[in-house]
Amino acid sequence: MAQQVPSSGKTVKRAYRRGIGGAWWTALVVASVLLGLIGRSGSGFWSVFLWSIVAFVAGSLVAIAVAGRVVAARSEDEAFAGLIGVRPETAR
Amino acid sequence: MKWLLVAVAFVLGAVTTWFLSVKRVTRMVSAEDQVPGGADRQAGEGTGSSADVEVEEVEEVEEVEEVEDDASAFGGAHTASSDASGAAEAWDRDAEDEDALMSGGADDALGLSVPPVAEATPNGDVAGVGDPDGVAAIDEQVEQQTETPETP
Repeated sequence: MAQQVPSSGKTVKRAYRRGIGGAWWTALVVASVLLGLIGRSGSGFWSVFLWSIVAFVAGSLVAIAVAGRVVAARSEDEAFAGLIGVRPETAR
Repeated sequence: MKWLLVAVAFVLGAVTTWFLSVKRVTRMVSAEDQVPGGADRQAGEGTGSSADVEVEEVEEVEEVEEVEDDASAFGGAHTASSDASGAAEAWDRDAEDEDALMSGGADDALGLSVPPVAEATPNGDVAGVGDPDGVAAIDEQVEQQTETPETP
């Protein structure tokens, strides 16, 4: 039996880290190939392609390092560990 | 031109990795369920940066929502928070539900009022002590209320 209960609440947004998964490898290949094709007229496809891979990996390492320092939680439950009585609303 | 593209690849790698690795979740928290200082304590953990703990009071709303009847839930309906919460209730708001479950005894469930027996044994056993007629009357009252098939 359901009943109508008024309650006041507020939205709390938290962030947590997770594995990057296979999408990262796809992004690496797509970005490197596209940049290589764009720069093939100037420096050649392979030069830009290989340097793009290096730069992409370097940027990823920087992002992982920053995320590790900024985002402490490693799971959704850990992110909301300081709160009780929370109800799932949306996930982005 | 080549180094510009390499810089673009660097930015793409950083942005892509950030959005793939950092997931944002939004939950609705009722004000009375929030641990005092919980959000602040969470914000203070880690490196001291609050970028990951974006507590946004987006909306303070009075809303009417569908909730399940708590009476049928495990442990019964939730009790209201005490004015002065003790250590157990601070740890878990529903910790006092245990007291609510323990408050009623078997006598209360049957609607009986058994007077205390002065001749009770040291361990509290009052069965048949000093007043066998009273015990028999209580047994008869219990049988009438429970309406067991054995009742003649």
